[in-house]
Amino acid sequence: MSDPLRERLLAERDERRRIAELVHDGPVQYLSALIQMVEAVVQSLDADDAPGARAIAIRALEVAREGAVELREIVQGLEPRTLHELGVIAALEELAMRAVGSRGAKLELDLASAPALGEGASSGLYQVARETLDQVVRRGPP
Amino acid sequence: MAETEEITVLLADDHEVVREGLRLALLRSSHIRVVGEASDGETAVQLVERRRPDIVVMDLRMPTMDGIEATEEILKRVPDAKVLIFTAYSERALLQRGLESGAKGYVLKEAPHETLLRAIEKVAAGDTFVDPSLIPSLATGRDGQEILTAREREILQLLADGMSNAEVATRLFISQETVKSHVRHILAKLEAETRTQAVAIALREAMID
Repeated sequence: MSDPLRERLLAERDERRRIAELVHDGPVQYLSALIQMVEAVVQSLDADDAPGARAIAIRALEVAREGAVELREIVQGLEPRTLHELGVIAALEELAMRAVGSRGAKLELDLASAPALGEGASSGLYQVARETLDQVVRRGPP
Repeated sequence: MAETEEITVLLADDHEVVREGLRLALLRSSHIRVVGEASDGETAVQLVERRRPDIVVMDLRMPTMDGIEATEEILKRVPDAKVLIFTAYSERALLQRGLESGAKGYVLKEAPHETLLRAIEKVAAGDTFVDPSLIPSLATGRDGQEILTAREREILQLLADGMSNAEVATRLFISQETVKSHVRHILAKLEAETRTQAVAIALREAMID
């Protein structure tokens, strides 16, 4: 197998693994938690504890929403429309805004001087920034 | 195990929300008490040493020390500790590694509540338990090779489901002595020392690569 082809196959494999990990670490865990919570709601109802059931159901709703947000972020991060329609700077701004989002963090962007890039380079740059931000959010400071 | 006997549980999962869900789901089971929570393998090892729970409900994928490493370390330090793996992974290779690490049970995170409760009770009592949705292929050997007789496979499947000799005997309408003799043959044929090991080996043999 030629080296560029091999590299490409390995890169694709790594990317599939990364997506699998993201889905496993996020939405799959939220769904697991939801299953347990709905089980708990059923048990509370069986025990005629309507207020208890209600409290757990409200919490389950929150978890469902958090899971949905996380899933959407994964899907959007794969290949955002903004990147193709408005360019890499707009996409990076959007990415930064989402990463900071409700987390109360501060992020300074200096993108004005970014050169004009081709589609491949734009996509590559975006993925580097996305992965870096993702690591910062998940794992904290190095 | 009598329903009234309390089972103390340690939860090890790096996702807080999963531990919260488990806590809530176990709340109504008055015989089960969560005595600690760990968000990584190392903490799980430390907490098991300190609190000696009857059972550890262990996630596989965790930062720094994963569930399999943590299980091995726990059993090194507390040999009679009992670990139930609780994971979203259903790959056979992981199931096998989990059981070979010394865990007594393996349950998927989407398992029905009754399955989880049964797994906790069985593993806490020292039995083996494998999520029933993972064991259909236990009954067929690789390349159609049949190491075990149909009866032996049937019994192995029941062992994987956490049944004791007495329960197997009742289920199959045979004597306990007959069950014991079948189990001895199963262990000898699979070159296993324990029932859990026998289940792990059977799973590996049935593995298609």
